[in-house]
Amino acid sequence: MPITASSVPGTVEPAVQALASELLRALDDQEGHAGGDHLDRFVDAWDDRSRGLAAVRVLGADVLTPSALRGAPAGGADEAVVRAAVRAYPAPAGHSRGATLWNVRDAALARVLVAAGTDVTAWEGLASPRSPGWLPDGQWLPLAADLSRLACAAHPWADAALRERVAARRRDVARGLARALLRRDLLGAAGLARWLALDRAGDDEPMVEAALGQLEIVGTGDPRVLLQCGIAHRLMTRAPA
Amino acid sequence: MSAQTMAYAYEAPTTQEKDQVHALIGQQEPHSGLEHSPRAGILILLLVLSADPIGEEPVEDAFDGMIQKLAHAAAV
Repeated sequence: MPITASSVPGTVEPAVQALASELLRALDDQEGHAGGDHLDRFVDAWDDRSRGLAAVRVLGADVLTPSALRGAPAGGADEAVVRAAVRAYPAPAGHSRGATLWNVRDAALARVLVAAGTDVTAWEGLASPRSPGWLPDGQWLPLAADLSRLACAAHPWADAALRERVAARRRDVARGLARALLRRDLLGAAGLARWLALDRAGDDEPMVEAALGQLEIVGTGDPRVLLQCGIAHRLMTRAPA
Repeated sequence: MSAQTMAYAYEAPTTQEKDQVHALIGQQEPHSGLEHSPRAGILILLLVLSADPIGEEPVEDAFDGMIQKLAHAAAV
């Protein structure tokens, strides 16, 4: 069955893919050879800074999560890049579904920054945080669709109430993961696997590791998929907070 | 036009770049196209039925459950 790849034509997506590759290298850099401020170097190396900042905005909290997971929070130059990206591409106002998506993403970004000791209260363009009441009740399909787009919020510093809501719907998240795999929605599947990896109960869920293994094989050509898988692995091996 | 954030200077993004950022953040799952083409689903269903599944195997389980997959794809 032919699958139509979901892509957004233009100049930003290549930058997003390139940044995801860079972050994947940073995630695998156990000894810290990559050094700090890799976001600053990435955006500077891009031919157009606004395009580099666009990539930073699209990946959201994931631009900081790899270094934070390695215990080496972003430096001042990287923070300045993230702040510039937020200002250049401000979150939409209102209470639409799209605006809510940005709210949750920005809350996840802010929590990583705050955990590293950064004060984000004066950041222009950052959406105000919201409670996880936005998560759809009942049907598993809308829930899985929303969570797959919010994979960047699945990190150890995520809002406790959000994590509890997701934990209460683990079976539905797993359903969404199985469906995404069947539909070859690799990025969506990787995002849902990451949510399951975040608060994995133990070895009673062999599906997560199997799914990640499969995604790492079939998603070889997509750095965003591999980045999600890499972070998910780190979340599973990380000691509970 | 240029903007300044702390010590970080950048050119103001274009409308196209802003639109792309919004599209990428709200990116939906890829689709097979089948769910938007009921006729294609019906055609495949007829082809499967005309293939005369073997023995007493329920038709919905034939060919690795293809009909179930089609029904699911059409339903969602």
